[in-house]
Amino acid sequence: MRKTNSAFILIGIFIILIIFFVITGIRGYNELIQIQEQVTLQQSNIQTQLQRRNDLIPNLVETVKGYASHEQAIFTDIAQTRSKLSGATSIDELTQAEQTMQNALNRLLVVVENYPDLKADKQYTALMDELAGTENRIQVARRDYNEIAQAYNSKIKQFPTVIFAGIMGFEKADYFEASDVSQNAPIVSFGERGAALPNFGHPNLLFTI
Amino acid sequence: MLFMKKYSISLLLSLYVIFLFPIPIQGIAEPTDLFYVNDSANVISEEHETYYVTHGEALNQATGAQIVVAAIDDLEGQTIFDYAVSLFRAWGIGDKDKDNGLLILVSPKERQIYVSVGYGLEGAINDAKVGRFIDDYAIPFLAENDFDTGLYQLYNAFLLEVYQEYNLEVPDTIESDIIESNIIEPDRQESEENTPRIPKVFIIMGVIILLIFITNMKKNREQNSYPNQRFYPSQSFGNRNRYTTNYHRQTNNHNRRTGGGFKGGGFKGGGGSTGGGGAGRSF
Repeated sequence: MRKTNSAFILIGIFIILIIFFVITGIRGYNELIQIQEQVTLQQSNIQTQLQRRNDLIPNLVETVKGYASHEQAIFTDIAQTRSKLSGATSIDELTQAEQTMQNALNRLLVVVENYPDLKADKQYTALMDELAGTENRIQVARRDYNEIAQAYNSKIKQFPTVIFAGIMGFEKADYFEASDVSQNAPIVSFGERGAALPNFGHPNLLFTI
Repeated sequence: MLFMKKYSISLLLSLYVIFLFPIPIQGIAEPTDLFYVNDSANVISEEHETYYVTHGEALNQATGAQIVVAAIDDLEGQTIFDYAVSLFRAWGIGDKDKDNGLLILVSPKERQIYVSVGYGLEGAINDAKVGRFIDDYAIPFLAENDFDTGLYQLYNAFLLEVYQEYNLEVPDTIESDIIESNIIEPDRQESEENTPRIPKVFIIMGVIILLIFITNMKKNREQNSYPNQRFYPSQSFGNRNRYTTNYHRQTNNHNRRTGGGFKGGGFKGGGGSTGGGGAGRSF
């Protein structure tokens, strides 16, 4: 009689343990799914902002052309880079195209320096504000993404979710890292009043027109 | 030996007390009790401060939208954009669901102004419009160091814009039965709020420790010398989308008038956020 009793107890404990693990597992899985969704959301947020910037660029080029029509070189550059961007398939290609675009836009800004009438143009100022705002939004979106990615990455490493995270296909999320260029962006000194001009690829800076 | 034991208990109590008070981390300013205005740079007139608070609360009551004016003396090495976004999110400007907040931030020292707009208002007030408003309404005055008028003009422009967005009229006179009772001596409030919190915390801690020791010596444990101060530890947003978790989001709503909690309540943020929209200028 005693043997069967203790057997029952053992089985009972065993069952309870299994139930416990299953429940914990389900809860952990659900949490991971939730966070993963947030990560995806933030990722698409970044894409939206990048798209928005790309859409603003033709407007910018047109406005500049209105005043500086013979600066053909930079316009061609930008047009070419834009097609490269839309044609990019892999992440590497995309990153490279982004970088090229940023450089081209920065060069455009340098060109604009020579045309004070253009700088005073209201259309141009409005466009610049929009672009600066978009750059800011990209930066904020990237930071938000990094934060949620961090939460996600620690979650998949935590016990007990770590046990099944790999099996169920929860992969580590990559972080956005500031490129060397943006980290060393100089803070331009301020003179007279000026608009917020986007420093493409760099943290948004306010500097004089 | 008994003496040592008594001291170790009071030491433990003191340590407990030390950790009870959150030590403010350098970063961004904290919201004042009046919420709608923070004038640590001391450039806004008293009259306009009251104006921003009364209209701020009226707008809040009517639409949930919140417009906050902040003139900060020290950006703590951050860009004005970063500072604005952090402050916006820490203070939770605007309604949590509608995200209809707007922050006008000026740094007279750096000679920069930045207006940060919440998601919900971005449709009505896009970046280009923000830039144009700053150029038209604020810059002429800011360039001449008339920060007070510049902010005032800009504020009214945005105030009108937000009311129009909600198809409402800007109220000429604000019924201020409720509101006035909350605005008690704004200038005294002002200077108190803007002194750094750290010294006060240490003073209080010191007093408590001293009292603990004294009461222990008197063998009278009944005196509980905790001051009647309530404070609210930083909210922890469950929503991880906000990158305020990287910055210390302290919303320490100390009530300095008397002990015993709030009388009538301070104004608070609605929990809104921004995605980084807006525009700025240097002047």
